[in-house]
Amino acid sequence: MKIDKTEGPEGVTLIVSGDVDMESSPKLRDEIKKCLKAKPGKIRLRLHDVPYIDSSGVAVLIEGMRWCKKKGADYSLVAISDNVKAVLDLSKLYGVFTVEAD
Amino acid sequence: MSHGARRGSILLSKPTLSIDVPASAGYLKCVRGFVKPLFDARFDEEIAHRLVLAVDEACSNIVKHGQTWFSPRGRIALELIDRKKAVEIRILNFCGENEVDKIKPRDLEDIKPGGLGTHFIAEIMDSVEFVPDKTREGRMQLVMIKEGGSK
Repeated sequence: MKIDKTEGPEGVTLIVSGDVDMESSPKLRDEIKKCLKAKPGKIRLRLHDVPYIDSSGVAVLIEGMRWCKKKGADYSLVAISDNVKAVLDLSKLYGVFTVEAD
Repeated sequence: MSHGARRGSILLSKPTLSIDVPASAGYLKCVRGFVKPLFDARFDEEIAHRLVLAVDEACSNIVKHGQTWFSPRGRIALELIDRKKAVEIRILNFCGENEVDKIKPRDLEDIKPGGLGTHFIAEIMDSVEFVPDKTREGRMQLVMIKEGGSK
């Protein structure tokens, strides 16, 4: 899994590519935490190029949402892949996240 | 290679396939890569993706709880049996007899990280059961069955 970061006036976008699984999800968790230290107004996770996500990855998405809420930052998932959407649907969590088009 | 030829060469000639890897997160991708072509050959894309997820979640459980369930770290030993009307996935030496009751889906109304894997498995598979691992006293196999698919 690879994570690129872009920063703009609105906040930070983490561009995730590759599988988000038990091995790689801690890296995404650390990156979200690191971003929050800079107190951005918003964190966006772009998940268009994520072909696979497991329950540990979904757990990180939830943690990110909780941390942002606690810090007063907006949080959204952007351009999620079909497979990510399918897993969020399966976990009945799709409606819990703010999901944006690209 | 045509779809049918691929199915013929991989699935029909070897109805039972197995993989045995260290119980480590780095090997989960290997397990997914092992089962995916077989599911792709038999089921449509959406179901195949779900089945890969179910197998991955079951194997993740071994990695996560390996320190208590195995001594030392242990291995993921998986058998895939391609039956006429169903696919059967057996994960050997999955857990101890006394740990079966601890493995159950949680309430999804409570939005929190963790505990989703068991829900995924139960939701995706047609049958999930634990059976005694005859070769290992006190140990259980996880047997998951998905019916249907073209063969």
